[in-house]
Amino acid sequence: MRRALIVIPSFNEARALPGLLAELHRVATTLPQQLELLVIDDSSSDETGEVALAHGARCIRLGSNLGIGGAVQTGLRVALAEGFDCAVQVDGDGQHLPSDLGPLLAALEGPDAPDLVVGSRFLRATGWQSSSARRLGKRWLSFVLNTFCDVRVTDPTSGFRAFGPRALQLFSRSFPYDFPEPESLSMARMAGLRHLEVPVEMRARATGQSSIGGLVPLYYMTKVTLAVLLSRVRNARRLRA
Amino acid sequence: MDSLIGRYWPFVAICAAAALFIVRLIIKEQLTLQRSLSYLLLLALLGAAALFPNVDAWLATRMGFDLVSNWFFALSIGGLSLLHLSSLVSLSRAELRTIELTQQLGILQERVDRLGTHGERP
Repeated sequence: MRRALIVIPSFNEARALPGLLAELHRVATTLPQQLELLVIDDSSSDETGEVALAHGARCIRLGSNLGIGGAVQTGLRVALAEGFDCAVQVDGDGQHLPSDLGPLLAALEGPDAPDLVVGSRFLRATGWQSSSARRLGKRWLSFVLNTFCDVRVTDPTSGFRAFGPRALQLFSRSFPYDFPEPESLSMARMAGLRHLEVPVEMRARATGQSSIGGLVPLYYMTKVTLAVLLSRVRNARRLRA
Repeated sequence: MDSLIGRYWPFVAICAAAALFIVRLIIKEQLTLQRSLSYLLLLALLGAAALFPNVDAWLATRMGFDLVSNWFFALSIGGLSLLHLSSLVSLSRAELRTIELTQQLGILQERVDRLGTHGERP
């Protein structure tokens, strides 16, 4: 039976985690893979770590706040070190539906399977679609990824992803720390990894607030656009070397 | 040359005071000598420029500056920019190392906790 590590990066998600972990346990019984739940507590100030352990998940507590990229990479490193066949990132805020784990994991099966499976909320266009300003930003990032990195993707900021063995190898070594999703797609492409999007539904976060507010979107778009372009150059140089 | 040294002595004194302050921080182990050497070198360079203004004037002319003061400003700004860049490199390296260490520490801590709780092999 194939083993999958469910990586749940969480920062102050003590209220959202019980429901999410209960759903994940329920879904795990219906899937052919053997799932193990791992919460990465990104130095929360609430009881995220205690809640995770109390609800049957493993929990790694980071000594300082690394952000989403550092937290996810921690889980990917564990998956690689412990010989898991794949890992799936499921955000701790409850935005990702555990019922979509099946299609994500199924896409990684088979001899011609991609290395990275991205859950896209725009392929089926059902469920929560985020604000129009954010959708505009996603379109811009899709355009940048498509034009400069030859990455065709409809939901470049989706964190609902399944990582196959080659993606685990790549991202355990190097993973963007700040707003990592679009840049990691470019990295994967330049490393010769194949990605596939599958339709998923998302819902508005159960509790808490998004970290992208105020003037952050401006910084986000500038930083991510530059990061994607630079990663193309950097990884092309690495590959040549 | 003596009269010129006398004219610029306050600047030499400021450079010396700044160098002494840095040496004091090194002695108190708040700065490492390795990281401070470049700053001490810049202070020595600026101090020397104030001590020997004739050399400054000669260099400024050679470099195409009409005013010695402009050459001095360019030297200072260039030196400080280089120091800033070198600090950015050090800071970025330290940040990446901190992230990796934090991850490794968290992973090890979880293994130790599991070993203690369930008697599992880490």
